[in-house]
Amino acid sequence: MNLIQKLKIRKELKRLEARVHESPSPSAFIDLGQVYINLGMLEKTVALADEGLALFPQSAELRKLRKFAKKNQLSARITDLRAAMAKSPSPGVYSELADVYLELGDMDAVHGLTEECIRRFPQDTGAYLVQARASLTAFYRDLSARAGIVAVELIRKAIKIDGRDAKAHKLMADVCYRVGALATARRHIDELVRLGVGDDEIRNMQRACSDASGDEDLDALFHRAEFRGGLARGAGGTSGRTGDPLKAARDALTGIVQIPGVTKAVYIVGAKALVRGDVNGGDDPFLRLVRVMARAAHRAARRMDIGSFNKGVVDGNFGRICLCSFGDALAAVQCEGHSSVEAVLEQLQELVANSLVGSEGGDA
Amino acid sequence: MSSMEQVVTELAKASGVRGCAVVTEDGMMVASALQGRFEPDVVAGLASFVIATTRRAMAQDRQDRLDRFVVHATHGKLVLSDIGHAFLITITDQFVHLDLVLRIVDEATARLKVLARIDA
Repeated sequence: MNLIQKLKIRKELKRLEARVHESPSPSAFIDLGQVYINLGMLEKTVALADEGLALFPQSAELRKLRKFAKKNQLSARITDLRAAMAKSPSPGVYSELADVYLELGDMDAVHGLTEECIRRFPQDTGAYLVQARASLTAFYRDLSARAGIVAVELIRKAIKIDGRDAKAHKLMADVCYRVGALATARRHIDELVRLGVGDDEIRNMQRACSDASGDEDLDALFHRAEFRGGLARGAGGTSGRTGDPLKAARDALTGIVQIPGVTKAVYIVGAKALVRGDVNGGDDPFLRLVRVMARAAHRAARRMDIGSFNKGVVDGNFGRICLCSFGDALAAVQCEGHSSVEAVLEQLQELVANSLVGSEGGDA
Repeated sequence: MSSMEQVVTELAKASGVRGCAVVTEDGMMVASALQGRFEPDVVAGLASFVIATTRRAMAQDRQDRLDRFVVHATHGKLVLSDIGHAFLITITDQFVHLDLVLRIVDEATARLKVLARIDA
C-alpha cells in the first residue's frame, strides 16, 4: 500500500468515525467495521460492534459483524494454543483452548477437547468446569432445565476431585443463587470465604443468602425456571418466602370443583400441589399430565414468538382439560365436554391471580 | 395445488389468522400457508413436540384421544386439531374472536379429515 492509498483510507476512516458519532445507525457502524476489518483491526471491530449493539441491540447485521471479527480474532489464539498443545500438552492449555471454542460457540470442538482432556488428565477439574460452563450457556439461553441439571452434575464432579477449587464453588454458588436455591448457594459461598476468595459479587450474594437454610431440590428449581421462563435470581426465592402459597387457593379450588361437569381440579405452585375432586393424591397422573401440557404449550408459544402461554383447552374422548398458567402457578381442571369453557377458565384465572397476590403478600 | 393446500390457503385468509399448516405426527409438513415470520420447519417441529409430549403424558393417565389443543398466549393463539395421522395447525393473533375462528377451523378440519382418508 503506497502513501496516497494510506492517506485515502485514513481520510475515509475519519469520515466514517465522525458519521458513527454524529448520526449513529446500524449501517454507519457496519461501514466503519468493514474498514476496520480490511485494515486487520479486529479488536477495534469487536469494540465497535459492542458499542453498536448497545445502541441497536436488535441489529442482526451488527451481531454478524461482531461474530466475524471475534472469530478472526480468536483464530490466531487457537493457532497459538494448538501449537502449545502439540509441544507440551497440559490440562491448562486444553481448558484454555476449550474456553476459546466456547466463546466462538463451537460446542463440538469444546466437547471433543474436554473429553480428551478428561481422558488424559482425569484428576484435573478444568475440563469439567468448561463443560459445565457450556451447559450453563445453554441453560441461560434456552432456560432448558436439562442443561442446568447437567451443569450442576459436572460442577459436583469437579468439587469431588478438588474440594478446594474456588472456580467450581463460585460457578455453583452463582447458578444456585440465580435459580433460587439460596441455601445451597450459601454453602458454596461459605466455602469460598473459607478459601479466602471474595469480591463484591460474592459479598452481595452472601448478604442475600444469609437467612437461607435447609435442603433444596435443585432439579425442581431448574424445572421451575424452565416452566416460568425466567430465573428467580435469588430475590424472593422459595426459601425466603413466608406463609403457605397454597392457602389462598384451597377455598377457590373447592368452589371450582363444584361447577357442574368438573371432575378434577388441581393447583400447582412450584413443587407443591393441591388437588380436589376425583384425584388420587399428589401422585395422580393428572398432575403430571397438566404440568407436561403447560410446559409444552409454554415452550411452543415462546419459540413460535407468540408470547407467553397463559391459558389452554384440550379436548379429547376424556372430555375437556382447561389450564391456566401465570408465572409459577398453574391451575387446571378436567371437565365434561359440555361444560362452559369461559366460566371454568375465568375461575381458574382468578384463582391463579389471587393466590399469587396472596403468597407475595405473605398473608395467604 | 393439492386439495389440502387449497383448504389451508382458504383458512389462512380468514380474519385474524396468521397462518396454518398440516403437519404429520412426526413433524413432516404436508401443506402450509404461513406468514413470512413463521418458519415452516419450526412450526412443524414445535407442533409435533406438543402433540407427542401431550399424548405420551395422556397415555399414562389412561386417556387416549387428543382431538384439539387450543393454546392462548400473550401475542397470539395456536389451535392444533387432529385430522387423523396428521394435525391442522392454525396460528391467530391475540385479538381474534376464538369462537368464530374455531368454527372455521372445525369446518377445515372436517374437510381435511376426508382428504386424509382419501390420501391414505
